[in-house]
Amino acid sequence: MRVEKFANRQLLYILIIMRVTVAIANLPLLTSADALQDAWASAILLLVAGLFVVTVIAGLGIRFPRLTVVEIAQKLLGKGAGTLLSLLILWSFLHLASIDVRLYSEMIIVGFLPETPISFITASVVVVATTAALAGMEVIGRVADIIFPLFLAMLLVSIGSLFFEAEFLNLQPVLARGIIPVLGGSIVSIAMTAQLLVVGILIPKLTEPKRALRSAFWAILASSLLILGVTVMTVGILGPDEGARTTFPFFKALRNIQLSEFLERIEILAIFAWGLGLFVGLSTFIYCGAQGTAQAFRISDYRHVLLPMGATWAVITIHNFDNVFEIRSFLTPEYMGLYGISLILIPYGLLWLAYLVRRLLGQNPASEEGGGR
Amino acid sequence: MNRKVLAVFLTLCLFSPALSGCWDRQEPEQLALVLGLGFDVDEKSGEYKIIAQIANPLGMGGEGPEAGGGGTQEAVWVVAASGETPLMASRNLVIKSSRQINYTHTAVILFSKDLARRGLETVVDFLDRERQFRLVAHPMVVEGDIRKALEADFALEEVGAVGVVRHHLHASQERAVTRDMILRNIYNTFTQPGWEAAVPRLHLMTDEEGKMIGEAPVEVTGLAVFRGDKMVGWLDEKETRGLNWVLGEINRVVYVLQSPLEGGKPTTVEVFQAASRMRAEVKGDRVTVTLEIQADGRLQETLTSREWLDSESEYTRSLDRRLAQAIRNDVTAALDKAQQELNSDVFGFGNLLYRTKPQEWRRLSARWDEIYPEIRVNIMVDANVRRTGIIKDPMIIR
Repeated sequence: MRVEKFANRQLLYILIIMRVTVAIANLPLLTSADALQDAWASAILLLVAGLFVVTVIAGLGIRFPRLTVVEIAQKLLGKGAGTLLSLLILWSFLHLASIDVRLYSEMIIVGFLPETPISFITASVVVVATTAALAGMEVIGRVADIIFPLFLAMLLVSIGSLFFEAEFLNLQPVLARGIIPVLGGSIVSIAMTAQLLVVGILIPKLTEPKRALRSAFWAILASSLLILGVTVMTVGILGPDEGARTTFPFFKALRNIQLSEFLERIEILAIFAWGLGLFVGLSTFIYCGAQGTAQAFRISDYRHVLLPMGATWAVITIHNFDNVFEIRSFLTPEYMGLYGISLILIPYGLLWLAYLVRRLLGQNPASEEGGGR
Repeated sequence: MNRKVLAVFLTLCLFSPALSGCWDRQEPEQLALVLGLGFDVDEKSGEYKIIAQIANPLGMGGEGPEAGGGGTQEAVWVVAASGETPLMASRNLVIKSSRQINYTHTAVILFSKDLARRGLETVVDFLDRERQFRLVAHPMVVEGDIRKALEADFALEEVGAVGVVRHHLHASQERAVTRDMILRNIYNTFTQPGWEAAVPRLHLMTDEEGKMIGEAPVEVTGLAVFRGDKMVGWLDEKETRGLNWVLGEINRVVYVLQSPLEGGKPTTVEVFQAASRMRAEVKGDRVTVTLEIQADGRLQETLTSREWLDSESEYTRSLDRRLAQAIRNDVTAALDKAQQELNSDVFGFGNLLYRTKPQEWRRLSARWDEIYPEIRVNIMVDANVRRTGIIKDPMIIR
C-alpha cells in the first residue's frame, strides 16, 4: 500500500484552523471565567502555554519521527501499559471533536434554524467529516490548503470590520484586578490545547517529520495572534460584561455592527469560516482517532474503525450534554480546565519520564528500529 | 459495476429528505417584516404592550396612478398587542397577522415614557436574547403616543421607521441635538460601572388633543436620562449639546454669536472639527474632572461691515473667545442639570475613575451618589474660528 504523506505546511494550516475555530465558537477566554476586559492578557498567557504544550507533544514526536504516539507509548512502556495510556489520548480526540460539533450545532439551532432537530445538524457534520477522513490524511491536507486562505480572509475581514466600530475604552481598566482573573480566563483555553495531541499521531505522516516542531510553533504563534484579535475586537464592540454573558461572543459582535446603511450582516463570513474550519479540524480528529485505534489494537487498516467511530461520535455529541447549562458548567476552569490539562500532562508526563529514564539507563529508545534514520 | 450503481443510489436516497426543504424554511412572501417597534406598559395592570410597524408590500412602490405597482394601501401597517411579558405581547401580535412576524429588519426601537420610568430591564433582556433582533437598531424614548409616532406620515419617506432613523442621524450629525446611538450602546452603559445611559428622545409634534401640529410629525431632539434602567428626566437641546461636548461626540454644531462690533449683530459660527478629553483627579473625597475641549469653527455668516478679517485683527480673537464661551455655557447647562437636578452620571465620570484610577473607584463607588453632585469640572475650551467660507469680507452696501 502506498504510504500517505502530507506537507508540513498543511500541518501548520490545520493547527491554526483548529485553534482559531474555538475562538470563533465561544471564545472561552472571555466566557469561561471573569477575565472580562483583561481577556487579551489571557490570550497572551494562552500563547505561552500553547508553546509549552506543543514543545512537550512535538518534542517527543520528533525524537521518533517514524512512530505515532501510540507506537511510542507501546515502545517505551511496553505493550499493555502503552496501549492503555494511548487510549486516554484517543479518547480525547473523540471527546474534543464531540464538544466542537455540539457547540456548532447549538449555534446553528439557536441562531438560525430553531426548529431543526439538533441530531440532523450533528449527523450532517459527522458524515461529512468522516467521509473526508475515509479519503485519508493526504486529502485532508489538500483540503486544508484550499480552505486556509478562505478561512483567513474571512476572519481578517470580520476582525477588520469590527475594528472600525470598536470602542477601545472598553479595554480599560488594564489589569486592575491583578493576575488571578487573567489566569482564570485562560485556563479553559489552555485545556483546549489538548487539540494539539493530534500532532503526536500526524508526525510520521509528514514529509519532513523532524521539522514538525517548527511548523507547530508557527501555528501556535499565528493562531494566538488571531485569537488575540478576535478577543480584543469582541470586547471593543460588546463591552466586557455583555461579551462575557453572550453564548457566542464573536458572532454576536459581528451581528451587531453596521458599517454603513447598506453594509451589514457580515456575520455570515464568520459562520462560513467556522463551518469550514470545523470541517478541517473534525476530519483531522476523527482520522487521528481511527489511525491511533487501529495501531493500538493492531487492525490492518484504520478505515475499518472509522465508521463505528463516526457513529459513536454522533451519539456522544448528543448525549454528552443534556442542555446548555451542562455545556456551560463543563466549560469552566474547574471541569474542562482540569480535564483538558490532565489529558495532555498525564500521558505525556509518563512518556517523557519513561524516555528520560531509558536515556539515563544508557539506552537510546529512538535509535532502535523504527527510530531515526 | 453493480456496487457502484448501488452506492450512487444510496447516496441519492440520503439526500432525498432535503428535497422538501428544511424545518426552518421561510419564504419572504409569508413574512411580515417589522420595521419599527414600540414598547409600552399599562400603568394599572402592568401589562406590556408592543406596537409594530410592519412593511406592507401591497402599499409600496411609489405614489400616484402612473407609478405602477403601488396600490391604494398604506406602505405600512401598524398593529399592537399586549401581554404579561414583552415576548408574550409579541406572540399575541401573531394572532392578528396573516403573515409570520419577523423582527430581523427592525430599524427603530421605541420605548414609551411610562415604560422608561418603570425600568427597561425586561424589554432589554428580551431584545438581547431573541435571535431576530440586531442591536444596530436605533433606540428612542418617545414623548407622546407611540402608536401615533409609528403611524406618522413623513413627507419624503414611504416608511415611518426609515424616516425616524434618518431624522435621528441628521439631527445628531449636523446639530448635535441628539446622540448618535444604537441599541448595542445601551447594554454597555447599563453594565459599565459609573456610567448612566442617555437615550435619544423622539418628540411627537402634537397638541393637547393629540392632533398633529407642525410640518414634520416628529422631532428627534434632546435625551432621556436614566439612572440604572429607569428614566429620571430629560435633557433639552442645549444640555444635549453640552453632553455631546463632554463625551466628545460632536460632529457639527452651529452657534449664533453676538458680533463684538456694531452693537452685537448676529454672527453664525459652525464648528466642523471637535475633540474632547477628560481626566480625573482625586483628593480624599473630592473629585475634580478636567475637561479639555478643542473646537475648530468656520465663520458662516456675518453682517459686520467694518472689520478687516486678518491675523492682526482683534475681531477674530474675540470671536474665538465668544465661541469658547458659548461651548462652555452648553457644558455648564448639562452639568447643572445632570449633577444637581437629576443626579445621574451620564457623563461617565465614575466610569472615568473606574477606568483610569480603579483603586480610587473601589474606595468611592459605594458613596458615588453623594460624591457625584459635588464633582468640580474644569472646562478648558480651545476654540478657533479658522475659516470664513468662500468669501473673505462681508460686502459693504453703499
